[in-house]
Amino acid sequence: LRFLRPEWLGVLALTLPVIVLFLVRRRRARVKVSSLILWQRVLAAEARRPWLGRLREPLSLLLNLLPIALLAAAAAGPERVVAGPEPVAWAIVLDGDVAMTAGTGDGDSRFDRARRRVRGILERASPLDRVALVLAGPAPLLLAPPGSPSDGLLRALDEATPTEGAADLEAALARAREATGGAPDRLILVGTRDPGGDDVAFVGVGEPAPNAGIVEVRARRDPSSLLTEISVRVENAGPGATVRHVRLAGPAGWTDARELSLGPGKNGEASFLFAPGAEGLAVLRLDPPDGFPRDDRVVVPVAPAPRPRLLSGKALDPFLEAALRAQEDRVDRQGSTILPDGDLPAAVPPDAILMLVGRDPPPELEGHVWVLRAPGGEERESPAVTGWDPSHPLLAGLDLGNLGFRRARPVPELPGRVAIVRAEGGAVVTAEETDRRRVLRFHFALEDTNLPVLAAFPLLVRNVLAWFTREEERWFPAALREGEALEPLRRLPRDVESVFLAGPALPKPIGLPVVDGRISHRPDLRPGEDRVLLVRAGRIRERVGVNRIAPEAAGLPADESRFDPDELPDRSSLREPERDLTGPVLLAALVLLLLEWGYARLPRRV
Amino acid sequence: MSGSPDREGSSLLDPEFRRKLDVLDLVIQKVQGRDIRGERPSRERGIGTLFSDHRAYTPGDDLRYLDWNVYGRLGIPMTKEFEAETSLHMVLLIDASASMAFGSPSKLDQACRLAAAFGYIALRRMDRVSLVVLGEEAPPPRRFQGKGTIPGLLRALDGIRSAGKTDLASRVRLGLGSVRHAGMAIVLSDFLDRRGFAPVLGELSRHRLRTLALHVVSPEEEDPRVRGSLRLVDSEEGDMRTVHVDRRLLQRYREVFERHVRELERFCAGREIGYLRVSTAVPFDTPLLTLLRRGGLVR
Repeated sequence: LRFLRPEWLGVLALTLPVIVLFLVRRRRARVKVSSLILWQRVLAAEARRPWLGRLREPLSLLLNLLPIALLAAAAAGPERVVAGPEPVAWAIVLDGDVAMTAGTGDGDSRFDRARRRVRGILERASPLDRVALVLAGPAPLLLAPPGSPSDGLLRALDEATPTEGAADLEAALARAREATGGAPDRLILVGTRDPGGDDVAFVGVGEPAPNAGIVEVRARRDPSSLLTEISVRVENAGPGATVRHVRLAGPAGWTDARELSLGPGKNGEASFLFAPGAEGLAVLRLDPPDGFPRDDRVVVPVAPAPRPRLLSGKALDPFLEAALRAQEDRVDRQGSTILPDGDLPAAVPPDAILMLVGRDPPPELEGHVWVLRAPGGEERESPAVTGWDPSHPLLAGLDLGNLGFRRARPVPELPGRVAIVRAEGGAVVTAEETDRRRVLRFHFALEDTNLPVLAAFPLLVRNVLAWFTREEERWFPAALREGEALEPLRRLPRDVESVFLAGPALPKPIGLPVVDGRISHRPDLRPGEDRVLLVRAGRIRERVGVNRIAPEAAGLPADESRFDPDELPDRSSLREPERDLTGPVLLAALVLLLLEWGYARLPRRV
Repeated sequence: MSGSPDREGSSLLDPEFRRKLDVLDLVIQKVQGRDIRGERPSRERGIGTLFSDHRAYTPGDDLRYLDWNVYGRLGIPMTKEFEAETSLHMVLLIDASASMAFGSPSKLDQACRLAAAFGYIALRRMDRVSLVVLGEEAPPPRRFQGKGTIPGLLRALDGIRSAGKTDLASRVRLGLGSVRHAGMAIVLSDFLDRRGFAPVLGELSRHRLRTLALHVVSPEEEDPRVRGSLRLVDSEEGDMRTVHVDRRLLQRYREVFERHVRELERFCAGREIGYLRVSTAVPFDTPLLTLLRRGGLVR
């Protein structure tokens, strides 16, 4: 017997007044009799009854003291020191892999099934046992620490949901071992994948199921056709061959479909080429869906190709006008404007190209400028073309072998300008490309060259428009898998110091520092409601679709349990032996007090 | 504890008590139907007609009773003695120890009333009555004879106070030593003597008196109504005993008391001593009438 609060035993001092009162009361009871002769005979006989006669008064005093002593003992928290059944340390890891969301055919998911198995295990545990419950996800989560009450464990189990990524089972098992002090008596994993290990009792809840998912998506605009091309790769992780349709639903009602026949473990690709009628989302989905719907759908932000306006000081050359008219899908002729002669804007709008003839733009002017008959060196008669750069986007697909000039003003090599076409005396076509502006200079007049009549001229005009709209570039992927880091496709401009991410899923924009053209800190992207994030870096404005593509979810093994929870000994009836004696002691004290209270009210004749 | 508490109840000198005694006397006369005055034989030698014995002549003796025949034959002067035809000499012995003050009315009260009744009846018949108070502070024995001494007897009884310890045997010895020619002794006591009742009753037997023992008890002694943890105080000795009185102990006390009474009664019977238990809870004349019915009190 021990006491949790032994200082309360000081209440026993209250027994002293009781003893004093008892003695005082005992002295007062005096009765005069004629003679003690007869009484002494009685008492002499009484003396032969030792246990009752002699102990009557001490017993009476004891009965008075006992309630006080019992109350003091109850307040001191009496506790019996007894040995109970040995507690067992349990560590249960619940697989929270996204694959656990798969349906099982009976309406429940694998996670639901796993949760029922875990509940069955918990119901076999004794309240004495120390049970830790860990949810395995991309990062392990301790749902209930050891020592949690049974209802707390069950509540944590009911509130658990599968994660949206791949589960790191080893990390979860390590977390479970750590939570239970390193070596739990029972380490049980309930899930779909057996991590192995002798100390792990694996309870499988998986079974073979068809599963095909989109594991990769790419989107780009074809510079030549200005069409958007979306390529998807589908992986069949199911046990058998499957035939799936990849259906595309683009903005403005665009739909298309591809059929893929995939053997087990095989990949297949489908590509779509289409012109988005409006800016929006292109949704790709697998049809029919399987038990893993999260990787059956992908969204990609798409937008129609930009159509810049033309701002010119005078009417365009008829040959150029004719060529531009053939490129109406690339240039907005309706929005083009003739500026008053000599009146230059302070800055060229981003959606416009300024056409200048015979003069250079001021150095401070930003934007896109196309200069015809640009000032240069001395005018030369019939300079021969000496070369051109076919790798430059402006000359992509062109053959300028027949190009000839009546006159031109070739310029020598100038810093910041790239010679595109060179002739005798210098460059006759130069390109200036900075982050603030792009300037294309023709150091000749179109009427002084045979260029407009060449077959390459329309292609050159198309390339010029594409170069100005930079449509050949995309700084960031159009679509990312969930959890995948955002990484620019190429080095960002030097003046870009930060990349900002914004979207419905983010309470506030995330700023990512850029070092040497790369993002130094790369957070995992999480999808928002529309699964699209806006990425802003300087003047770069791009949208990125973030998709729950989970190729890790593909692996669905058969149920290969190495452990049957039903074989666990049922310890639920094991209880900690009653140690706390406060209740019985308090009850005994109250009973004694009631007895004495009743005895004090019995009629007494003295 | 010793002491002499005041006598409670009405005085023996009240007219009311006298009337009760008169009624009692009438009842007794009616029952017996004859006058018995002066007709009791006596062992006392004295003037009479029946020769009893000779004794040596003592100067001053009446020469009329000198036996000249003896003197002529033997030359020794002898005086003739005759049995005297004398009245009864009743000795009333009243225990006045402290224990007799116990009860309500006290045992002493009851004893004095009984003694008064006996004395009254005796004196009315011209008997002689001696009053012997058995107590530490007792007055010397007094003798009463004739109707005229009845008030004196009653005053003497009324003046008895209880005090001291009980030592009946020595007191009886002292009291009877000064009483001559006694014929009957009535002892009124609770017989709660630490030496027991045998010595006192044996002393009475030794004097060859017709003895009547009136055992005066109080209801509190017969059936105590105490309960609980108590200190019992002896009224004579002042001794104390701590005892827890419960129903079982009371039953045991009653058994002891009854055994004490039976032993006393048996002892009296063995020595031809009349015995009667008298409770203070009954009127004093009740035991008298009981004795009358037995026919043993008055002849």
